[in-house]
Amino acid sequence: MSSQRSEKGISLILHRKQNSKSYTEFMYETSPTSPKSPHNFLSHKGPIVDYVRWQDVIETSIKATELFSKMHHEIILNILKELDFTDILAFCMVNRRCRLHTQDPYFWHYILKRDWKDWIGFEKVLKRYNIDSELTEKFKSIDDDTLNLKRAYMTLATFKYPISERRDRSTDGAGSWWDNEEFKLISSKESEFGSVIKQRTKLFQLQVNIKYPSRGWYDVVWRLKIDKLIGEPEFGFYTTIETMDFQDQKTTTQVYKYIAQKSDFTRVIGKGWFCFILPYPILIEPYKSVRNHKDMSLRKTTNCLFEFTTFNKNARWGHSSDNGFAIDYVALRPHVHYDIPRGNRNSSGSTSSSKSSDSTNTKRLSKSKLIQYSASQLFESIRNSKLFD
Amino acid sequence: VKLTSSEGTEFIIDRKVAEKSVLLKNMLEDVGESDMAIPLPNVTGPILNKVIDYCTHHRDDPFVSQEDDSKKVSDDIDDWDAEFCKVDQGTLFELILSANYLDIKPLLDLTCKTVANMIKGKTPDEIRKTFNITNDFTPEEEEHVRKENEWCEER
Repeated sequence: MSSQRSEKGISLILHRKQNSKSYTEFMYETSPTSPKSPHNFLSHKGPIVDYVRWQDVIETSIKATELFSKMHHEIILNILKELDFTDILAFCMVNRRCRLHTQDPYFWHYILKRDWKDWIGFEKVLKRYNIDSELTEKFKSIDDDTLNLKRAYMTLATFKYPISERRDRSTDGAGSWWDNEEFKLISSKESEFGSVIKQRTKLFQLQVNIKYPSRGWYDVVWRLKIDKLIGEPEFGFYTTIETMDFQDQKTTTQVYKYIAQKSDFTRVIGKGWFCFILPYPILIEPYKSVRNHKDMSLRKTTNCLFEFTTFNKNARWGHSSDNGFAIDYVALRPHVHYDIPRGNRNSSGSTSSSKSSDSTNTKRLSKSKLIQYSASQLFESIRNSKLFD
Repeated sequence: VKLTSSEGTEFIIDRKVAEKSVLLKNMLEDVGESDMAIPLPNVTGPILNKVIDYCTHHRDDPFVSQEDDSKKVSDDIDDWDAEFCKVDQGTLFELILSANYLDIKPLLDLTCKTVANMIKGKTPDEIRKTFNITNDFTPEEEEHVRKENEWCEER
């Protein structure tokens, strides 16, 4: 049973190297007067925002390394108990010994309960992974049980936002928004939410808005299905994060963007549902970030907006058969800090406090404006990458 | 109460301070009042000095039961404790081992939290650099662990 589950889980990662594409196709309608965007786009260099690094000053030594290897399992677990899920995953990739320490079902059971025991779906998820909520019986296999516990954790920590449940346009709250002209709602057994939306026209835009997301580093995951792609369209994935500073009441906005091309999807066209993981993680600020007590700031992410837009100039208007996108949900999945996607992890420090009038608000953009909006963003990103390269 | 560190240095401390350590507390209860120094062969003089500093500063703290997990936030380290932990890694790890040996739960928690803070938000490679650990995974093993971690529930 459990092994079947593991087959079903997928991890399709479509990372791509930086700057390997040309933006020219989309550039033809660059607005001549796009002075300064209030957004800060992702740059490819620059430090990562982080909030607990003051201990870096502590020096390491050979003696320290020896002592570290002397510590027995209980002490290591005592340290790991203080860490977040993603930090523990990073720790288990350090070396064999570190991994061995994390292969402990009792420990994972503790972590699972520590973070999720009051969650509504907790019992249900435990059941799905064959986990007892109390540690009564012995674990059967250390590796399998650890894996199941980790997966249960990942399932609980992944927040999925269905696209099909469309919120009322007049409300400014959380939920997804898309235009009836552009999408068709279809019920689907392949979705855990019972229905998905399918693209109708060659241009579309959709938004999902989330209020007060939980803190942490996340990957943004879109669950999509593509039956067919005509031409070489480009797809814009945007994530906008608004963070409020409680001291000066200022809101900062940070936009993460990724322009996908057909080549990103060639492996999965016509092959059913897949998860598209955007190549950058996003940081959702905790309520307080502490370096030490004297230097404490109170910041909280208040709003998170996901957008997906495309314009396919090769497709014909009104021919739904030319357009093959179906969309199920967008999800926030805990991001593990790996070594490789460094370039993508970086985000420029964001200081702008104003809200853009035509891109981040929830009002519907006119079609021509949408094209202009995408094009000017692209233009901005090229300018930025030149600046930093 | 008299204590002797591993090199034979003698320390004289208050009984109240010594009782911060569950090991010493039990020992003192068993042995009763005595002039004999208690030997601590696992703890060196400088480390014992630090431990005594800690216990003296916290001598009046209420005893926290093990079940009291409600305020486990590793960010919450007060100024004195943070300053106390600003030592090199070797000392810090020795403190952990001594706190574990002497069974001083708050000190063990504090030092473990400090180490945890050194791990937070780092990539595996940054953790390796921080603690001077070598990566002994083969590329295949590394790939395997990564796949395990990157797993994402599909439905």
